[in-house]
Amino acid sequence: MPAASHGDVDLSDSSSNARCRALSQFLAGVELRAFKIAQAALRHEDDALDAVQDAMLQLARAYSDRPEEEWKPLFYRILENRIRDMQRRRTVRNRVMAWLPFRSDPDEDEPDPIAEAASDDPLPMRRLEIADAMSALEKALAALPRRQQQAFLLRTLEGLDVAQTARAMGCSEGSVKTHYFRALQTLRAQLGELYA
Amino acid sequence: MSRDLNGTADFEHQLHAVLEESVRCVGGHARSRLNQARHAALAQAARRSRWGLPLRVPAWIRLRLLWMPAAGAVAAAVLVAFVLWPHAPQGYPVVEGNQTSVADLDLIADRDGMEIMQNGDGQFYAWAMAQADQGGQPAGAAPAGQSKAREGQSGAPGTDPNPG
Repeated sequence: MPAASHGDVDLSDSSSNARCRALSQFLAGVELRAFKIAQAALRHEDDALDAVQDAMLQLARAYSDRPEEEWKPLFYRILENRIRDMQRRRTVRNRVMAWLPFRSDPDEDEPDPIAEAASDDPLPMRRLEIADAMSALEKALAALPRRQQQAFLLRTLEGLDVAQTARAMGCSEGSVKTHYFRALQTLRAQLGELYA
Repeated sequence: MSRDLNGTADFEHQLHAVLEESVRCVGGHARSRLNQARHAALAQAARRSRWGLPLRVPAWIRLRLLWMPAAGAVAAAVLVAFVLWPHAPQGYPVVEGNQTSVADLDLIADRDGMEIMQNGDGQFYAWAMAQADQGGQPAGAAPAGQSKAREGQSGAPGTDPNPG
């Protein structure tokens, strides 16, 4: 069996094993940040987890034979498409649900007793400060336009450079710089006092 | 200006630190779900490579897969149209018009014809044969030349066997 190089060729056992290991390391490295980015966009934990899972499966199914340096922009591009699909579906669902007389709010579920249990964290005050800062940042991020939010999170949280961010967002590098700068200005105007 | 840039850089660092901290604070439930999702994705990639299939489907196969549903729908529509299309069975003569069948019914229902057959009226059949030889036309309607020749052969006029 020929060795894998690039394109539509079979992968030998050794190269496919190495490829799977590389893919595992890549997914393990991006999954938490991807989850936070999806959560900032969707503002719902389960929806964010679903979006990340779909992006992982799609990357493994269709793009795992691509060069590894292309994985990150591709993964975030897939994730962004998935987030957009879920937002559209949610918009349609909310419009339909608004017409129904007996609807239940999904946010009114019973609280999870394990999640509500008291924590034995040794630094509760420090945790509280970070939680406040995170809460303020998440609110400010949620108020940003979607493209600004995406550019900011990909650049700041994921650490993509401008070219990779442009590939992930499907726009020009100039647009990325513009979105990022505007996001930063808005966040600074809203959080400047808190983060001073 | 540089002070403002420094302030912006510090602000970016602070935001980055808070975001990193929020990543570290992701709960166990979410981590478990992400771990399961990662293993599912890896299992899918490993399964495809184990079967020797190319991990990326070639463009021509994708194009073919794209056209297969449309081709199937067209074939089904043609089959349904062929089955439902009205057509006469082959091998049987087609009856043209309703007059022939009505005339046949008249012949069957004609009681006088049956009586003639049973009584053995030979003169009638001889006359009928002669009428058929003349093309079904009465003697008076024949062309003038033919009528005269026939009169010469039969002798005297007025010997019509069926005057009535």
